[in-house]
Amino acid sequence: MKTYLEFLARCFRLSFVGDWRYYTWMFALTAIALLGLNAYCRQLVDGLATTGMTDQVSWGMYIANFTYLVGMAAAAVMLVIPVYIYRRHELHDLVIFGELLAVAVIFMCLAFVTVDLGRPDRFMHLFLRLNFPVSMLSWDVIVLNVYLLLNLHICGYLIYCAYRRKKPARAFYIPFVFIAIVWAFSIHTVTAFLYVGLGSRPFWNSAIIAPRFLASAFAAGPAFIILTLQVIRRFTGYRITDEALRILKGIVTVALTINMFLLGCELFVEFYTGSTHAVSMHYLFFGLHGYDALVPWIWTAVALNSAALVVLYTPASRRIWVMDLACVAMIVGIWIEKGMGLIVPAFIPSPLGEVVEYLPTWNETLVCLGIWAAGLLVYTILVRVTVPVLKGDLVHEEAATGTDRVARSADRTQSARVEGAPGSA
Amino acid sequence: MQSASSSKVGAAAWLVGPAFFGLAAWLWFGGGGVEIPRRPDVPVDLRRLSTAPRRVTIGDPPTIRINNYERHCNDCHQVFEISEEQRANRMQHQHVELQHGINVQCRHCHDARDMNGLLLRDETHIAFAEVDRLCAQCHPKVHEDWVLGIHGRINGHWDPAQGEVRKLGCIECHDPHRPRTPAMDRLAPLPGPHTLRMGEPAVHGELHHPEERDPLRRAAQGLGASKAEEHR
Amino acid sequence: MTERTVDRRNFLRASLGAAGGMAAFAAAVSPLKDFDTSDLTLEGFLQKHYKEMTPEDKEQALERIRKEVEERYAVRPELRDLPPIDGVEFGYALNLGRCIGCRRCVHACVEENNQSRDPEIQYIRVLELPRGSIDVERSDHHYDDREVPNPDSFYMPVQCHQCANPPCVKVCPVEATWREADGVVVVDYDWCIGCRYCAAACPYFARRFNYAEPEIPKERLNPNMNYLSNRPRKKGVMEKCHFCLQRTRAGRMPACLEVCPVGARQFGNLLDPESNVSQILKTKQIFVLKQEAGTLPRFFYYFD
Repeated sequence: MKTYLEFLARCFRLSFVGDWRYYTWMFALTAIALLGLNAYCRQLVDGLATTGMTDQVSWGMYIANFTYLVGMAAAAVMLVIPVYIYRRHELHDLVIFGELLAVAVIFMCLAFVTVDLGRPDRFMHLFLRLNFPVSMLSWDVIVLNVYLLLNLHICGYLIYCAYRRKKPARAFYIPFVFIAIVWAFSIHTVTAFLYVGLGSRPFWNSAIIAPRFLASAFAAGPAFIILTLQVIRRFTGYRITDEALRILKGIVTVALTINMFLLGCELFVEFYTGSTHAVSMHYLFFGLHGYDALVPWIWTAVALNSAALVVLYTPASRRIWVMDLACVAMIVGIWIEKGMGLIVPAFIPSPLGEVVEYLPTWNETLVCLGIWAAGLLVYTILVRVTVPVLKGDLVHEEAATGTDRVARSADRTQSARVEGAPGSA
Repeated sequence: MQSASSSKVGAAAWLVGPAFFGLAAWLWFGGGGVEIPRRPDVPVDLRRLSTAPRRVTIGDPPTIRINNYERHCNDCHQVFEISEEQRANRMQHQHVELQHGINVQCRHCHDARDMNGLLLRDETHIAFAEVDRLCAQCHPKVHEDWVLGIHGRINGHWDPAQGEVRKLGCIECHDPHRPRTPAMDRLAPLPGPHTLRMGEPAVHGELHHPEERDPLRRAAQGLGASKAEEHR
Repeated sequence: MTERTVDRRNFLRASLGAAGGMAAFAAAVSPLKDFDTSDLTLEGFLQKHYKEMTPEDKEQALERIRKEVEERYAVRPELRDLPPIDGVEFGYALNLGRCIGCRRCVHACVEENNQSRDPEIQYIRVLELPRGSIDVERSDHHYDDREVPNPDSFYMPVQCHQCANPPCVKVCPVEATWREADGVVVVDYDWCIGCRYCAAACPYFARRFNYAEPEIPKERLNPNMNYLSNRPRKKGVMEKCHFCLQRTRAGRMPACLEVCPVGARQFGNLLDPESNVSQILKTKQIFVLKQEAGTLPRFFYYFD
């Protein structure tokens, strides 16, 4: 126990040590997170009227980000599956970064749900009288928190073992890894069921949404991980092979293809049938009664996703920077498509045919940026302490008692970073 | 190299504190408030929300005010007999404009022998309070609905065990002399919704001039277009 | 540079950073100084779910609310917690052939049920529809004719349909909304966490959220209040039409009905075969809005 607390303390101290780039990055994130906190405090004082949400469009950017990020969290298993099921060992040492991402992202998800509540002070009511199993939101609360715990356990255990220079006991983590794989599917399916179970919203009331969610998540998530791994490689010198990135690229390509196909199926059914149920889809793609706030966005998303898909199938994407570009395009494209593009149109027109558009306010946008910054902050710290542990720079035997030791190990990390830099370029 | 990097670290770390202070100052003084679109409340005139019956009936037996005296119908009508010709000289009843289908004379409804009450077709004399029986002679379907509580309004209580079920009578809404007055079912509407961040009403006004694809409705609108124009 | 100076420097640097961080944090949370803490009482925080309250708990809660209302509106309310009446299930019927779209019901409801005037909350929406279609997508909610009805239109008021299979109840994660024995779907305003899932689930656009602290002019507050219906709400919770429980559970007619100038609205007990609503169901042509949603409304439209 004492060793563990000491380990945590050392990790804590380590998270404050780095070079000027690290400080700049961390300061920027902290500053944005604080701006978000400031905006959220204003929301607490004045109510959700500070957001662009209305009775007509009662969910907006918060829930859109939540939906997107649940997918991102679920996608962490796309690193795990190749390793533990297909035995692709290039990824073995990278699994931990996926799981850490899942931890940070679930934290963001929970934050997004919390800021969306009108009465966060009554959060306790979820424990006192959870409407389980009838309400899909109660399922979501459970699966998200369990997923968080699963990943915390896996990461924490593996990192702590590395710290103690012990070989991890398979019985302590392998079963959890497999549970986490299944659970990852469950979190995104349950989140899809939140929406598809509502008969009052024909735009959502379609069985294809859940598979679409998974496909888009398994495209955008690994795409984000591809970028993250390169950042880690660049700044920590941790060994990450191009081969590992290419495995992920394969996953991304297949998932994006499936996603585009399912979207096409959806569009065909809606528009060819021509029933009044297509009216929200019509609003999204072409506007309604002259109201077309989302039209440029959705076409941008379609363009970005299509471009990414085409690029990923051409040999040019063997080059890392081309692949990165495709990843960025896809991350943005999918964010629009399944964030704002999936949440907002379901409310337009309202069930009684009224068209009220949704425009996020600046305050609401700040809260979102703040949560993203806080999430990245958490992820950066997690990676910051994990890499030295995995590289053996921060281990139990060196039993630190003062800051100088930590600083020394940190310096070593930095020098490693400098050495590692050319390799990645 | 190591010393160079650590001195860089030092310099950067020194900046963190002041930068945070700067942020604090900006948040404290510069961070603007949030615009919540407010709208001054225009309270609706409560008189327009009256639950009183739309017509004031004249009581049973009815009274009429002549030269500051409350009179019963029979006070005069015992003296002045109504005849076939009385419509030419309506005396105290100048305001009555009789436009009620085949009922063109007072005695078609009022009991000429006892003006404190009404007369059914079978010569039964009834009190004013039972006016619905008179109406039922020509409007049996509506009357049936009214009896069942389907037609017309019930004020007060739905549960007779807990209070009065005040079923409004026929002539508390309908003018028996002129049931189809233009003003009968026409009112100025109260203000429409103005919810938070509603923006400009989207389909407003378009309803009557839509690009209509449905041939049935197109025809219907063609017929009604002129009326709608006139109305607006 | 000796070890000591390095240490001192490190310490100074860290302290400066920590102080700056704390200052920035304090500045970030500074808007909270305007937070209305009257809403965050310990009593309110510890209050149980309506269904778990003992009669003493209820009386305590009622007294707390009375005090809060009195403090805020300078009116001592007649706050009660009326129970459902045995053998009664409320039903509402609306005659589309009669409604003239005058919106008297909308505003009578606001006065009766203490809705916020700014931001505006109304439980009833009156839809103007072109003759020959009940496609709500073609409706106009914002007609402002000098006089109604427009000869080319008919009018359809929509409010909570008090569904027997209510999607809003199903989705609520904390059981803050439920269907009472008399068929009315109610909200415990002290339990709702404000996730707005019910608003997304409702096919009738019946649910209204308090996006800001509700504003009601003191002189317009209706002091006849009921716990599960028209007591004043706080910001951040959901509300909706409840068939005027403060009236109907005392045997009275709802406010929207009493104000209707054309008698288009009928209300009564569905379990009483002789009641007006039962008679309407028996003798008239009835339809319910969005029957395909499977919500089994207790609000019926009819023609005659």
